[in-house]
Amino acid sequence: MSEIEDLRQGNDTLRRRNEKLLHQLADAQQALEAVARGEVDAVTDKASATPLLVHEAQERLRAGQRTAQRALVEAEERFRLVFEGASVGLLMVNPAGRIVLANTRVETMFGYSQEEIVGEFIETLIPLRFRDHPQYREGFAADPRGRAMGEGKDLSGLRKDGSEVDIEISLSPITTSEGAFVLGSVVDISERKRAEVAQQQIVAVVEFATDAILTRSLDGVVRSWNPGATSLLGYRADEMVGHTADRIVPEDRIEEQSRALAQIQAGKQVLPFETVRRRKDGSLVEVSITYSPIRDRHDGVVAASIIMRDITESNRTRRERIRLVKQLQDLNADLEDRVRSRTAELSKTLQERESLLREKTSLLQEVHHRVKNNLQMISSLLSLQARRIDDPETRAFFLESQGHVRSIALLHESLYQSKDLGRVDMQDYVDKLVTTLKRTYEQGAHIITEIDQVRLPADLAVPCGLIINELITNALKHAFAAYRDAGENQIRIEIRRVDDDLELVVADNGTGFASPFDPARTETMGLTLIRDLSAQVRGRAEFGSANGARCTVRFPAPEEGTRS
Amino acid sequence: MNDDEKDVLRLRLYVAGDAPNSVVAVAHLRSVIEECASGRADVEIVDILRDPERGLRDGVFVTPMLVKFEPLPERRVLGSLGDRRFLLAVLGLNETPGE
Repeated sequence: MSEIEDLRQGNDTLRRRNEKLLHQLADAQQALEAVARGEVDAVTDKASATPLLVHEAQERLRAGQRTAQRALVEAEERFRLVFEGASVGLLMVNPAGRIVLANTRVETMFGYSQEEIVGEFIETLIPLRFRDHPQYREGFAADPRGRAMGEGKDLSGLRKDGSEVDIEISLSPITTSEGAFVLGSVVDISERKRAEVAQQQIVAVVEFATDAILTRSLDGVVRSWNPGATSLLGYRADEMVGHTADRIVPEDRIEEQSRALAQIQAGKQVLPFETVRRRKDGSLVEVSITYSPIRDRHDGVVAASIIMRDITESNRTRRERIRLVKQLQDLNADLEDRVRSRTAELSKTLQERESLLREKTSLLQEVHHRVKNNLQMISSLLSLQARRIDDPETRAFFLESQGHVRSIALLHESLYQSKDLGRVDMQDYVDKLVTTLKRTYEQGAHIITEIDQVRLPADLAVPCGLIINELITNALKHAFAAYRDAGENQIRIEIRRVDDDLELVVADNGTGFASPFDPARTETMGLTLIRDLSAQVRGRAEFGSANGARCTVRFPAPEEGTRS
Repeated sequence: MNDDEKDVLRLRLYVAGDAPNSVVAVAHLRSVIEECASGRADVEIVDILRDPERGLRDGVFVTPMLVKFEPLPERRVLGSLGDRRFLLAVLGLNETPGE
């Protein structure tokens, strides 16, 4: 019985324990759900026995969060302002080497917008030839030391348009939970470089100038002294720089210098003037001096630059030049006088010569005229004489002679009518001759002349005239048979240039020379005359008999003036 | 059941001043007691802000917390006591519509 009782009791105990555990489980589960629903008002800390109000804590937490948020926003804003407002270009590069931040300075420096450049590798901004450069490569790698990159070296950045820009970069590591970032600050030093170059140029100009160039602060102390100043005044730079400049100013020029410096101090320009300065050896030197104010950044005058040029030589040169100019002017005046009087003399001579020439011309005309008249008179006498002679042969002789005299007379007529009294125009002369001959002979013929522009001196024209006279006379007397109609008779007279010679041709279409005909052996008066006259003009006569008689005289053309 | 009904409910509700869940919990408990255990419940309300030691002594660290000391077994309900069915079950009460 008691065993059963024990069992029952044991069973009850178990059942109660089980029930209690189930209750505890249910309570625990309910508690968890209540906590999850936020139905807790306070939690008491066992150690301090102080209840903590959950709502208050939450409130404080939320307030704390808001504050933190605000602080974060403010911090970000401050960062942005600093980043964007920086006077240098700022670039943040992540551990992978990509640009994660770039400010507006970077935009203007490299020509990319922030949108374009953020996300790119840093190499985008580095010229190709530098990309393998260890300073660049390691520079943006995770290097824990902040430092300037390429110090004392010329670094270049690559702009979007491909051009390069002189830059200087310093790097600062920024360690974050995401790894080591690098903040690079980039300075555009193009302007500085240009300024450096300009500065070097100025220094070179001053250094190599032959003018003395020095600067003098307002208290009178020499601040710079170039080699030009040393060679002009004898003092070395170390003797002058830091000391007063007064010893180069002679006593009597101190006042003048003070006035100039007062002008400079007042910011006014001092025009270059000529004065005197004292050399180290005590001698004086004439100089042209220019003072210019040197201003600081605030436009205040802090010093004077003084440029001096030795004008001893130029003064001497100037005096010499003035003397030379004077001398030259005197010489000029003298020369002009001489030219004037000489011109007067010459024009007088010229006038005299002109009148002499006119006299000579009229004299020559007169001579030719008289010769012609005389010859005409002889011709008339011969004609009168001939008429009284009964013997036909003798009369023919007289008439022939008359023809000769007449042709010479015509030549003189042509001569005194021609502009050039020494030469006769052959066209004109032959025309006259032909006209006269036609009048003399009954036998009619058509005479054609073909004469080049030829002017011959009298000593050639006379024989030519006589040859023509002879041949035409001959033709008119003998060439044409009486039965022929005079209209068919034709005589050609040609004078033409052939190379350096002249060729005189007289040809007719008459019966020709009696054959057999050998002019060389024929001793008639006419042919003898023609051969002799041809010889006079240093020519040769040739005769032909095809289709009438033909005579050709070829002789050298006179050297000069034949064309005029 | 009759025995149960005659048993006096000894309850203690730990609250944190007039914090919102505590106020609601007091209201819920009061309404359940009035409706289902009128006159049979001994309810003490302890404000742990005034008397933190009481809570610690009873092992109550989180409020609002209802502890049923009697009849045994001891039960604990955390929160604003909005689950009426669970509360009745813990307190061993029946819904008595016709009171």
